[in-house]
Formats: sequence, structure tokens, C-alpha cells
Amino acid sequence: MTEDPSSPDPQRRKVLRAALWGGGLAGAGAVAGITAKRLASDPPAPKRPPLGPEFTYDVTRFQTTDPSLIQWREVTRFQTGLERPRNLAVAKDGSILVCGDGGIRRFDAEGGELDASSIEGSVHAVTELPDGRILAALSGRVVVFGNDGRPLAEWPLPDVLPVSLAVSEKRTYLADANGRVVRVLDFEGRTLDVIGQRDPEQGVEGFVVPSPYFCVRLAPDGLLRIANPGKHRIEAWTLDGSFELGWGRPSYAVDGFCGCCNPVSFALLPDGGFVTGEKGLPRVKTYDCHGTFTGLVAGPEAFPDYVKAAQAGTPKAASAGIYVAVDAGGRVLILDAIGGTVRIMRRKEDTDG
Amino acid sequence: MAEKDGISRREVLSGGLRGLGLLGIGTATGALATRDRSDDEVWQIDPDACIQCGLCATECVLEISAVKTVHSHGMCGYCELCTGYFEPDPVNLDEGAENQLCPTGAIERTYVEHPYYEYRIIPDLCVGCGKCVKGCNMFGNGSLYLQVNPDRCVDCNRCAIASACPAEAFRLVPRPTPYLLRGKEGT
Amino acid sequence: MVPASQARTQAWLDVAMLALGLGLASWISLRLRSRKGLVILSIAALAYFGFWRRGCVCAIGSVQNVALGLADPGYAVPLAVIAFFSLPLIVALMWGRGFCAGVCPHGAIQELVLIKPLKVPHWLDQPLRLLPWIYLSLALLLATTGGLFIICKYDPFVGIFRMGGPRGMLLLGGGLLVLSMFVGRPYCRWLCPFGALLGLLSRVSRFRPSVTPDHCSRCRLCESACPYGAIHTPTTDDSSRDADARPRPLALVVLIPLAALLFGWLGGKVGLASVAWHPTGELASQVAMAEAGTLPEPAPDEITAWRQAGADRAALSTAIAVLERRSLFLGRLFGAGFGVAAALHLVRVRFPRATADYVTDPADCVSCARCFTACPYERLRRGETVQLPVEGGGRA
Repeated sequence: MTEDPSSPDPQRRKVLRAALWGGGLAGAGAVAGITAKRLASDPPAPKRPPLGPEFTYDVTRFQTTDPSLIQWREVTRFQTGLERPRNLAVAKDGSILVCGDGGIRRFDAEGGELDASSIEGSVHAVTELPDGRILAALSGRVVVFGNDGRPLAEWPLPDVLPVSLAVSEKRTYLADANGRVVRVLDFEGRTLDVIGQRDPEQGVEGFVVPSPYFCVRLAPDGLLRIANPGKHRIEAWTLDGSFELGWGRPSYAVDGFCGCCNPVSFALLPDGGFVTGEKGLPRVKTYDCHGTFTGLVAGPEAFPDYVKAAQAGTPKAASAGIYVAVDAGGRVLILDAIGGTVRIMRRKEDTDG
Repeated sequence: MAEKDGISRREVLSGGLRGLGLLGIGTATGALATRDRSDDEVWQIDPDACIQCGLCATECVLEISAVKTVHSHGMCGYCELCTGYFEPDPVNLDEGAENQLCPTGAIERTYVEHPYYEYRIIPDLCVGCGKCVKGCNMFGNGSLYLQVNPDRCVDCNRCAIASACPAEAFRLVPRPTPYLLRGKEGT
Repeated sequence: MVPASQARTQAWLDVAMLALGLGLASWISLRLRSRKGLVILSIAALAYFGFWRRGCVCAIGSVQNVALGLADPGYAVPLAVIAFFSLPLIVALMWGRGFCAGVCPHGAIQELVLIKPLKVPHWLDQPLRLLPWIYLSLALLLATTGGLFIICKYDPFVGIFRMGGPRGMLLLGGGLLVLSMFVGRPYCRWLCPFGALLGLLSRVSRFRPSVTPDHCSRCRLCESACPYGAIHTPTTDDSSRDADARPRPLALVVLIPLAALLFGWLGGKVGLASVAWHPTGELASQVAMAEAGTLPEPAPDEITAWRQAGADRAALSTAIAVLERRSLFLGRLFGAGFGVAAALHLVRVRFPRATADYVTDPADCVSCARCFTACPYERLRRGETVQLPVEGGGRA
């Protein structure tokens, strides 16, 4: 200690020192106690990144739509029960086929479950052949099911990622997201033709398919309609593979197709118009037969879980699509791959009356 | 007591305590050093868990974060309209600053052939805010994602970003393979 | 496409530099007795461990890794970190705080800027030396319960080594540096948790510096040269001192269990409260707020991530219960540890050892070698011409 023994009153200094020590320890105890109390009663405020707004990816202004543009109303919805649903189709008898990881499920027109077939792997697309057999498209193969739900045959398709199927009286049209072409197959799985092969010398740009969304449909006019998502267009092609015309433009505004690659899915309405499904900004819209925007079936507000997942940016959640189909009665069916539900929509004018 | 006795007793006590201290440090060191380890590990972001909250840009002990966007070219769609490169609803699809998403201009694009473009991240300009990653995940296929750049990482005792990460997306990975890559680059 | 990884050699180079530095520091301070040598070593340490390695890897922070490693069998502490933890401690047991003298960049930066040392009175200095123990206990508690490394997070000098960082930390570091110009090593003395451990072990070190090479004339020059208050005044000529020294074992026997119990109890409280700091505890309180509808929108990212992972309420409650049990136990453990350290400190200061000459206090001495250059007999030994002081002149 530095205490100077020559100090006049060592006794007093001793007392003072003891008091300081006591005070110090009591102070330490008090600080610890107060900290403890503080911590217990007052958890730290939620963290917010102190980055400026220019560092935030903000599309909220596109996530609300003008309600007057929404011309459809939800009639009913049902859960698919599939862990990761991936596509849907309507069979000739009006039943709804939903495929995804682990197999295919069939529902009646009002959403009651009819039967299920299980397949190991991810079923990317499903459709019904004219004779009632069911095609299930997986990476590298197509599995054929009989009416009774038992597998009959398997068509091997090496290096092909089939993500959409369309069927005519004699042919299967299979959209291959890996090869970026539409393959024409007979009903035994033989490849007869390839449509849209990129060939810059002949002026064929081909399809731009950055992510596994590539939709093909057969229209009543006898032409194929193929989504060219990277160009934000829906194109008409003849059955023997020549490009006729296309429409669509990239835009986050409601009448365009948003993001890098949309629409991810579309279907044909009985009046010749189109219904389209977009990912990123989940919206389902209608266009007339010339490709003029006519209105919304459902805007992003209708898919709150999807918007939340996309906003959070977890890739698994955000890469899920919004798939559409149209049944014989003109109802629009929407499969929301994140919510796992199928919604059945009717025009407001039909339901109001 | 005699002064001499006191000193020698104190020395014995001090020696005993010293031995005890050495034993304690040795035991702790031995127990920890012989623990099963894949030699050595570094912090890395699991791109599937990352939610691009922006804390990577601000929580790193470095002035400019060691977290950078990386780009898996094997997955990339080479889109003309890249949502990781362009602002939402860009005015024009060109390299104009008003169209670019990245606030620091850290993404470079070069024309390949119509309608394809190649995108490259300039690590020196990237601050790891994850804005482009969000754009790519939300609309594209997630070929852009955030990774700790092991060349810049100073290997803190405990990664400050990992402590702050709300999605608990930070994992320890072996130093020889310090990335958690996606797509072809990841295999 | 992605830059390559750092070579593994870096960590081993760090360990080699540490071992070399520790050896040099001990040799220079105990055998060479050269202040100049230590200054050069400090500059080198500051350049290498501070500005080149940017404050990482760091012995001060390593206590947290080691504690977490001991508490959590699944956590593997990197070998380099183990070396940074144990080597300075082993050296302290043998030769005192050589790490502080010339290896630690935190010590070096403070040592080098100390231009006009002001004395801090003992009555203020010694109670403040309890702060590192509080800091250490709290840091170990948070490291072992939640993997929160507060020593690293609130390190005042890494911002300076890295030439950038959060503004608050830079201000704190700058402020501490300005203070260090007039007050010797404020961080080492009153905050550094590793310094507290080193001091404790140095109390039983095998070799320790002796101020004078042979004879002490009690001139007091060394005491005024020491900026750290680490030089003991001779006490043998004061009979009251001997009387003070007697109750030492008794005081230890009484005080240690008492302090351990008291602070163990208090530590348990702090441990329970620290659950709110833990990421899981924070998440739980936010989930509770969300359920009560009092959480402001937009929901924090933690909640978003939790919901995406499945929002498992039962698992969260279990995790909190486990965390609370663990925090209570570890809080009591580290609280009791603080109690023991505080009791030892109190007894050491209250009942100092009887000494005949001016000697260094091994716990507080950072082996800076200032006292050697001040001692007239040391200067005589070196062949300088000195006027020897009058015997006992300082204590007239």
C-alpha cells in the first residue's frame, strides 16, 4: 500500500479505506443486480439493419393491385396434401390432377380427394391421354399410369427435364427446361420431333428458360402455345415447329410479365383468351386472344404466405411457382406451391347473378 | 514464526500452487486439443438458410464486410433482364446507373450472344448487402448468393455476423473447402 | 469464380510468433533488463499482431473459446486459439506477465502512447482492479450459455488496428488511447479479463523481476517510475505491518467461502437474466410479443426465419427451459469464481506481504522494465556514472 506511515491519523485512513472497499463491493453488487433486473424486464429491441434504403430490394409498390381490376372471385379452395406440389391439370371427366414430390393426387371438381398414386421423386407435370392413361413427368423419364392408378410403362428421357405436358389426339408435347425445346412424342414414348431448337443461322432464337418453368398448351385453333419466359412472351407455334407469332412484354406493371422469367404457367380460356400465372410477384391475370391485358384473377394480396416467403428470400420457398389450369366450365384453378392449396375461381359476373 | 521459516513455507506453497496451475492449464489444453476436429474450420453462410437481412454488410468487424455475393455460373440463366442486376421495373435494359440495382456498382455484365449476358461480381466493390441476392432469389433461380470470402475473413474467435444472424445461417466448414456453393460449382 | 482460401500456415506462423515473442519478452525483462528492448519488441508486436493480423487471433478473446469448449463438448476450439490461451498463462506461471510486456498488441499500443504518466492513488486503483474479474465472469457466462463473445464484440482497440469499425467502438478506443497517454494502461489494469488471469497466476511465478540487481537503498525512485502502481513499499521496519500480515490465512478461510456463496447467489440471478440476451431468449420474447399482438410490424427477421423453419412453439419452450437451467448453474459457478477472485484480491491488498526492499507486485507488474532504468544501483551495474542516494532517503 502507498499509505504513508507518517500520516497523522492512520486509524482514520484505515476506516476510510474499509469504507471504500465496502462501498466498492456493494456498488459492484448493485450494478450486477440492476443489470440483471434490466436484462430480465427489458429484452433488447429487435435488430434492424442500419443500411440505407438504397441497399434494400423493395418491390412492395408492386405487391398491391387496383381492386377494380380483379374480376374473379374464389369459390372454394382445398389442400393438396402434397409436401411440395408442382403442377396441376384437369382431366376430361372434370377431376383435378395435382402432382408434386412423391406422386399424383386426384380430386373431384369441388376438391374432394378421389385417389392417389405414389412415385419416388419429384413429379414436375401431369396430364391425361385421350384413352384415360395418366402421364407423370419426372427428371429424365415419364411414367405412364393406367386408369386404376397402377404404373404401366416408363419412357426414359435422358438429360430431359420435362416441366409441362400437352396432348393432342395422337401426340404428346413435352416442354424440356433443360434442353429448352418442346419435344414431340407418340403415345409409346418415341421422340418424333423437336420444336424450337436454337439455330441463330436460321434466325431461330429458341426459348429462353432460365429457371425450370416452361409451359406448353395445345390451343383449339390447332396451334401450340408455348411460354417463352426469358422473353416474357407467349408464342404460337405450328405442330410441325414453325414460329407464328408471340405477344407479351416485360414489366412489373400489372399488364406485363415481371421478373426475369414469366409467365411460369398459363392456360386457355373457352373464349380464346389466356389466363397466366407469375412467380415472384404472385399474380394470375387474363389476356384476350390478341394478348391484350383484360384483368386480374388474383393479385399478390391473395397470396400472403407466398409474398412473405418471397420477401424473406429463402430460395427454396421463393422459387415455387403459381400454376394455373382451366376446367371445361371455364373456372380457373390456381395451384399456390407455397400455400399448398388449389383455389377454384369464377368470374364475378357469373357468381353475382 | 521465524522469517526464514515463513519464506521457505511460502515458497513451498507457491511452488505447489504453480504446479497445480500448470496441471490445470495442461489438462484443459489437452482435453480441448485432442477433441475430435476436422483439423480446422471457418465460418460460412448456408445459402439455403440465408434471408438476406443485410446484417452481413454491417456486423462484420471489417470496415467492408468479408461477405460478398458469389455467382454460380452453371446455374445462371444469363438473362437479358437479370433481376439481380436491374432495378425492379428498370427504365431501360442497359448499363445506365439508374437501371442498375447494385448501389455500389459491383456487378459487371458482358454481352455473350442475343439474348444472353454474362454477369460477374467485382468483390472489391461488393459490400455484402445481399440486395442482388434478394432480387435473384425472388424472381430468378438463386444463382447469386452470399458467401464469406475466406481471403478477407480475419478468422475472429467468434464470427460477429454469425452472432447477429437472425436466420442462424452461419455454419463452420472445413478450411480446405471453405465455401457452400450451389449448382455445378457446388459439386 | 470464388477466391481461394487462406493458407493454413498463417495460424501456425501466428503461434510461432507468439512463442517467440513470449520467450523474447521474458528474456528481455528478466535477464537483459532492457527497457529499450521491450519497447522495440512492443512496436514489433503492435505491428504484427495488431496492424498486420488486425487483432485476430487474440489471447484475450481466447478465454471465451476455451470456456465454451469446456462447457460444450461439441465445440472444437481451433488449435491456434488453444495455443494463444495456454502459452501466455504457462509463461506467467514461470516468468510473470511477459505477454503483457511485449507480445499483446493491446498492451503495446497503450504502453507506447504513455507520455506523461500520472499516479493513480492506490485506494482508487486497487478497487478498480476488481472490474476485470466482473468482466471475465460475465464474458465466460455469456460465452458458455449462448456463444456470445462480448470481449471480442466490445474490444476497444481492434477498430484502431483495422482502421475502421462501428463509430462508438472507435470513439471508445480513441478515448481510451488518449487516457493511456496520461494513465498507465487503463485497459490492462481495469478491464482486461485475460490480464486478471495472468496476474493471478503470476502471483506464484517461479522467477520475477527484482528492481535492484543487488542492493536497495530505499530511494523510492523505482516507485515513482512505475506508472502502474505495482511496486511495494518496504514494510519490515514498520511493526504494525507484521501484525497485519498475521490474519492473512484466517481472512482467506473466512472470506473465500463467504464471497463465493454471496456472489454465487448473485451470479445465478445474472445468469437467469442473461437468457434474455441469448438469441433464443430474444426470439422467445419476440414470439410472445407477436402472440400478444404487441410486436411492431414488419416482423423482425428472427421471427420470419423462425416461422419459415416451422414455428415450433413446444421446441422453443423446451429450449428456453434447458437454457434457463444451464444459465442458472453457470451463473452460480462464475459468480462464485468471481467471489473467490475478489476475496483473494481483497486479502492481498488489505494484508500485504512484509518486504524489506522495494519489490514489484507480481500480480500487477507488467514487466515494462521502467523501474530498472530508474534504479541507481542498476545504472551503476551498467557502468553509468550515478550519484548514489542517501540510504532510506525516500522515506525520510
